[in-house]
Amino acid sequence: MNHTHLIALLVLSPVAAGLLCALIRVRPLRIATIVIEALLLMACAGLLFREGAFELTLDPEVGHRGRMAITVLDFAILLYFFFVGVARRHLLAILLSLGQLVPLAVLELSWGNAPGATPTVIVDHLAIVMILIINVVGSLICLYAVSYMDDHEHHLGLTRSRQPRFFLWLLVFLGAMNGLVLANDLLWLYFFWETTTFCCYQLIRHDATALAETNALRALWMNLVGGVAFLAALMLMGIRTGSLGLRELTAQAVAGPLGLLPVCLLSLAAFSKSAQVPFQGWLLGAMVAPTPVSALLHSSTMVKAGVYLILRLAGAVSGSVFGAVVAIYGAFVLVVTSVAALMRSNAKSVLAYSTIGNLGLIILCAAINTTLSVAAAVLLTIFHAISKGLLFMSVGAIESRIGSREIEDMDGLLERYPWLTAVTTLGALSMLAPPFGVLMSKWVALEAVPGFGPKTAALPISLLLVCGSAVTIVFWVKWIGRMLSTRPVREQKPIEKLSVFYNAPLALLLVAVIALAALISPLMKLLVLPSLGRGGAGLSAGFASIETSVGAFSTWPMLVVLGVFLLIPALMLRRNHIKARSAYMCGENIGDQPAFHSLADQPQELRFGGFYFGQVKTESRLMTWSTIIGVLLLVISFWVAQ
Amino acid sequence: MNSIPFDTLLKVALALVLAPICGGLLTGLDRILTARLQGRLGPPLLQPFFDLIKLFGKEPITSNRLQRAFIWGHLAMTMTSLGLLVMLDDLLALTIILGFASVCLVLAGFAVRSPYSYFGAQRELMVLLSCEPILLLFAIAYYLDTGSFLASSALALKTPLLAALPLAYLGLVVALAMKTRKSPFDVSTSHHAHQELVKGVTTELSGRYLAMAELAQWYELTVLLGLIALFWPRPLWVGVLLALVSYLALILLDNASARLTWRWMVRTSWSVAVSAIVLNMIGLYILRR
Repeated sequence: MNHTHLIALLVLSPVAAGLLCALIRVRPLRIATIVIEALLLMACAGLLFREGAFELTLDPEVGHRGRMAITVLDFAILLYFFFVGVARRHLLAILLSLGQLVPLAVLELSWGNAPGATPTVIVDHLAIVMILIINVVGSLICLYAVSYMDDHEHHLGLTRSRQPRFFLWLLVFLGAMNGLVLANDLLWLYFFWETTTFCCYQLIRHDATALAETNALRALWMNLVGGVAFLAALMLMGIRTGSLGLRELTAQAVAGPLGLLPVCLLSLAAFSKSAQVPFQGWLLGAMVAPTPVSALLHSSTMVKAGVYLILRLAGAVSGSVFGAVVAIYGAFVLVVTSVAALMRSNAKSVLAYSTIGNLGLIILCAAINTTLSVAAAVLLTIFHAISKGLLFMSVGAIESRIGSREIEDMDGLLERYPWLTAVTTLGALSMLAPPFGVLMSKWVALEAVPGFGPKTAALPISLLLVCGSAVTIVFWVKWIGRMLSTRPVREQKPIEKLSVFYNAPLALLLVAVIALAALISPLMKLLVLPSLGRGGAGLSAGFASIETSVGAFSTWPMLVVLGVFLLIPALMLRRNHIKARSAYMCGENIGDQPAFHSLADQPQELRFGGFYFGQVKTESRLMTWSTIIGVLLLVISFWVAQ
Repeated sequence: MNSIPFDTLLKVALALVLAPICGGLLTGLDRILTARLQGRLGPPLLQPFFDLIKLFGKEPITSNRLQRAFIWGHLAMTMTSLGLLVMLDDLLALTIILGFASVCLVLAGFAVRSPYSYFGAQRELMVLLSCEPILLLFAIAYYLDTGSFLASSALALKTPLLAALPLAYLGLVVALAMKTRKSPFDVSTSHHAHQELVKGVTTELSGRYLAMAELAQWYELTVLLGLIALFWPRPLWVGVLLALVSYLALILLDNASARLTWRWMVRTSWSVAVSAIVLNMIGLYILRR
């Protein structure tokens, strides 16, 4: 297949499929469209991976028409944002959309006729990694949404389905993400960037409740801050070099009179997209949307667009003070969000804070910009997408069954929903247990950070990273512990039956989590090392181990130990018949019941509760302070970038 | 990958056999010393082994099925970390695996709907929260001194590690006290009678599963003492002596102090022990410049 066709399929076919979903209001046809589109996207991603790296310049005629089209759409989207601001009487949204409309008009008037940056599209290994993540994990989420949205609308009691609209934005989102990671011309990138903001806004407000509208508006204005910064960077670059290519930017960032300022502005845009402190609010608010939206935002799209841009810019900040400040910022975000996650009892908030923390870690690793650390960043981007996609989908399935997303309501969930509990537990374990991917990435990061050049920065970053890692373990284990707590004597319940649209994505991602832990070495060789864009000095993947210049981790022996001693016994449990006794309660047990004789021999039911550090007040105080510190760090980063 | 040479495998096998013997003997010694300090005669030195054998012979009874898998995992992970130490492998990897071994124990405690076990698990998690930063920072301080995370590089140093990392050593001893549940850090379970939560995280373990948890303790003790021995590996007997003296000091501390709260433990660890190691690292930076 022609390269151009492949790119066009990746970017435009989801849009077409989305429109089809929106226009045809027949359910079976819609489902068929979604399934076919999901398969098509996965196939295209696979093909692109097989094609390997290439560059593509649109021919002038097509390029010009494309530019016209995106200019019109740019203005349309921005005007829409402006009217949203006016309609909701939100001054910030109005100002921020004006803050883009005016510069964009200036930009188009001054450089509108200049030829676009060449090449238009660069497919390198980092782009391929992102394409694989977006289209494989993203498509699975779309499939999951088929069943989930039925449950969701049934639960809401809608008479007229709003799914056509939902799948339109969901699929357009995937197309925009594909465009975003493929574009080298920053004007194109900016268009896709704003399109993701737009889709995100539409998806968050999908349920049209007051809370959904408020939170969607918050997501909108926070991302518009990023949009303004993005456009400011484009203006600066246009003035300085007249070129709007992403590759040129990273190649000659430091040399120009403005120094790192454009890079700094683009980083700010990336931080807002990745919901880094002080922008964390929008991602936390986004959980009012149906679960597939959260799954998509957290795993394969939106927030990953931010860290993707940071990874692209990493080369430009190498060795600068700005890079060091950004690294400290990322480490800081990791710690405060991990601590905040300790205090939350809402499963989706815990997942959201964990996402922000992991993105902080990715940003930290990218900013350090050694072979090792960038490898850690790419690995974490891949594994985080898989694990988080899995976790959000399983929590969503649990939520639609028990009607709650509170961890406390998942007490003893294993007795009620063994399959969903097993999936969630394995997903959570994959975030903290060796040799699963997320932990392996963390290990590579820990090996990379202390070797960071500027020693005055290396020490605080190491300290923050260590603290963050320790706290992370606690909130995951607490949660797993709540789900697995079961009575000693109980009747065997059959495994719950879910629709294939639930089971297939969950099972596939679960297999991916386990298989990629086993196949981390080939993954490193095929995807990660080439995506670093430099020789893999300091990092190599053996058959059964990953070796850095300063250490080594044998993954296979670890996996064998884990499988033989933990997984297999856990899965074989049903066959084993050992005498069971109820738990010790000082001899005050009431038969086999989870109850005991209390005061005046009254029966008292045994109840358990999880432990959450601090209270609502503590958390809000923590977030206030971290917002202040986060803003301060960003100001410092701007100051050192000049 | 480079195939692991036969003699390394032999060494690992030997260590896996010898470590519980060392751990058991040290536990026996601990019990005798503690008894003498309390004015009792105490059990024979080999009592821990007798206990262990007896436990293995008991009829298996369980109050939770899942718990057994986690106990298996706990023991296997601890043994793996010992294997890494003997192979002089990556200290960061070792720390992470040792941490996950504790996670398994915590989950074994959480798995049962028993108030005592549940509390114990909660507190064991706090022990983990207190130990993890110390151990990880120790590994990083080790890297700053030797330029590598591999345990083998300590052997190549001209001056022993202790000279460069005295405060990190102290931090590691604090972690040892927490991991071996010595007062004032014995919050999750304790060998002393003053523990009010029955037997804490191990309350619901019996028979061979209790024996396996005990065995894992012995392995863990050996691993941590091995890490301390790394501070003076040439000649090795000095390192071993250092480890033994540290452990003896902890036994004395155990009998001289009361159990304090987990809040105090987390605070102490995150403030005193962590800053000790960080100070040590700052010192290294300044001296090495």
